[in-house]
Amino acid sequence: MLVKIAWRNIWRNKRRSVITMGSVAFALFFALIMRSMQLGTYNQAYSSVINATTGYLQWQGEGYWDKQSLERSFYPEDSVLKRITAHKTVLDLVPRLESFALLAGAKSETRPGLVRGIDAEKESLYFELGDKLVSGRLPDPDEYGISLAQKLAENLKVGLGDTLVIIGQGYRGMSANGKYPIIGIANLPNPEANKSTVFIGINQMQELTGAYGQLTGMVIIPENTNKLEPLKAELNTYTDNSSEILTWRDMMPELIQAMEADSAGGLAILFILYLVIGFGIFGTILMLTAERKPEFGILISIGMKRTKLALTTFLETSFLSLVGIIIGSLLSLPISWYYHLNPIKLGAEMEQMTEEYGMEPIIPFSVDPSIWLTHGSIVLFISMLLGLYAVFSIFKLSPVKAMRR
Amino acid sequence: MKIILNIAWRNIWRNKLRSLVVIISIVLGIWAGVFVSAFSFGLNDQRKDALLENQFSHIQIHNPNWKDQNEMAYTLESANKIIENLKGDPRVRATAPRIIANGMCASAHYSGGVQIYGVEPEAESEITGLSSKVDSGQYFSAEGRNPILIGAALAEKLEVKPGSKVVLSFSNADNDIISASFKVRGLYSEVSSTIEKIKVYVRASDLQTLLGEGAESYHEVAALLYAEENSDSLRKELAAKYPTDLVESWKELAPELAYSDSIMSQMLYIIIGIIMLALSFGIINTMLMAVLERRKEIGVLMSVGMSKGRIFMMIIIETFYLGLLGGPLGLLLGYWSVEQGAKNGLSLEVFSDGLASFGIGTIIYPNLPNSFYFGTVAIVLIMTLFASIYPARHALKLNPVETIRTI
Repeated sequence: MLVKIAWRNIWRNKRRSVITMGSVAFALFFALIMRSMQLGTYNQAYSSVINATTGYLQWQGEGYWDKQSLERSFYPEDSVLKRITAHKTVLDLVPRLESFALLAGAKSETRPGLVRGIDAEKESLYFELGDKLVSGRLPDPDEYGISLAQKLAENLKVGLGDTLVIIGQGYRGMSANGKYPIIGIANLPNPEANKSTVFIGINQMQELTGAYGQLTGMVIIPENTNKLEPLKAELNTYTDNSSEILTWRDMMPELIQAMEADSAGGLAILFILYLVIGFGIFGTILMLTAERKPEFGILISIGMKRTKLALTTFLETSFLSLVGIIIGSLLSLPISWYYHLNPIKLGAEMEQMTEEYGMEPIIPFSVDPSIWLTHGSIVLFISMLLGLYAVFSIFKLSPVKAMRR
Repeated sequence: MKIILNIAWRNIWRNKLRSLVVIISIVLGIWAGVFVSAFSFGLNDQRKDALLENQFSHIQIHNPNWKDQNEMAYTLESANKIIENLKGDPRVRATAPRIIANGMCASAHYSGGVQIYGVEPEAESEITGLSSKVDSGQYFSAEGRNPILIGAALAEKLEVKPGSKVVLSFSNADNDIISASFKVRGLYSEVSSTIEKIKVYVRASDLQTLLGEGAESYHEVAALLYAEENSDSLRKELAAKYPTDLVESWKELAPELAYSDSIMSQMLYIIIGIIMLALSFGIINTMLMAVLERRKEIGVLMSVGMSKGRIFMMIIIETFYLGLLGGPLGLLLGYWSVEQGAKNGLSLEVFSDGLASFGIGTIIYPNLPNSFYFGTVAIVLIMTLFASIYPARHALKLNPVETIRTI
């Protein structure tokens, strides 16, 4: 009954209600498109950087991440390894041993690069490394051969079947020099990685660097990437002081802060927008209560409870923005969905900026329902808060004075 | 006309609270919009200035092949002549040549890829202020064998301090690998930790000797100008003068900087426009209500012979009063807070690492070009006019006889 009255009240002044709903819909539409774009960009940035570099969670030697030197590599203890593997939300562990080295082909000068010892099968399974090959294949753990990133191969002027010389520093100051046939070339989406990465079998890498049995990190593949912190805390109880578990947030704080700074800028603009819209809604509520004062007075004097009357008015103002919220959400959804499936490609000017962070130069929109829920409820909350003005004025109303006009 | 102005002015104060709500929303919307814009402008300018002064300078000259393949062999033909020439130019504040090698930097604890910049100590200090960035240890001097300056972030990884030794390996023009030991003379710090990790500085003469190159051999000549506006014209002159070299201004060197510079004001006008559009919903609504609740009165005015044009004008002027009260106040508050912010700076300590990776410090100085205030005024006027049309038209459509008949 109250709901029905509230709904009908809205349509007593059609124009005003439509304009108010329109303002809410407009603000929400804009907010949703903007957040969808921003959060989509961050997600894409995170996942492309995370997948290309650290993975979501890593088991590393204590202090490795700060120094990233082979000296801080660790020997994964069997008992700990078994417990981590057995953990029910851990899908798998992917071993890595990496180090910087100078790389040389026959026809060009040497370049520095990152030599990454990998388990090709697992890297392909979890990070789709195999799909990125443009020719040849990835080396098996023991195989005598290497694959390298496409841009790096171009810079070094080498191709499939050529020989690559690696000159590096091994474990405990040993020299780590080797000569390997190139058996594969992969095009990595991360521009920085594509200029510098060499893949070699994990066992072969241990031999090259003299770090037998050692790893610089084990990427832990979690079942759910949204619940990393509790998993990290739990796994950290398994390890002793010589090794630790880190999340990508620990490993790449700059990336997160850069994104957060950007996000804060966007939220500041939305805050202004909501402020302005809030005033608009308040204006409507103000008029609504003012013009209905005599009516309220009559209703109260003939015995309608103030609580019921207040509730009706409150429902009315909430409905106003609810309809606006629904319209705004529905309008923004197809646009976000379209750009989610067909990401915007950035122009050449912006490419360099994204490259600095190691992202792909595309903007996919996010269609995470939480964006719609968050902003929908923010707007609803604002209008409900403003709706309290109507409630207060009903409780303060003196029926006699109100009817006298 | 004067009468209409008067009537309109009185009309907006008939419902004080309602008019005030609209005016306050305009004030706050514009104030916040101006401040956010100034903040973004300030951030962008600071980033640009920092990157130009620390990294790119305004003009760089290279061998045309250097850009695609950073190989040792692609040196400039007559770097010293270019330098002499640039020094004589009144537009140029500082200029410096560099020889650059890609290689590895290793200590007993760590080895990583670096860009080795062979610089002329004095010239480099003038152009990028390198000597003032050295926090611990000292800047280059004429004495000492193979001194090197490394970034504080790299030093931490290498676990070295001034006085320690590091080994640099790189290849010469014949693709032979050269390794040499350098003594850490000092540690420099930059706003960007990425740069600290990859750039190391040595004396150009040391690097040239190790590479077996002549003393005239450089890969890069950079020039910093007094005024950024001259970079395009100077670039053109230099390109004509040295047709075999590649002359680039910062706009080509850092296209993303030039791009964000050019879209910044567009973006901000769009944001102000969106805020004003949101405001106009409120204005339309208020004015429409003002018209509807005065139906009877407007009907009477019409019947006693007030022309439709005057009624139309009255409503439009009422709307404009709202905008004229709110707009300038918002702009003044915006201007005042931007000036305050510019004086003291706003600290963004929370985002320090992220901002550092953008290449800027943590104190932001908001800054807004004056033209932007005028642009905002224009947007406010246009939006107010736009918002006034619908209610005013509605007033015209009223039928005087019907409006008077109702109670």
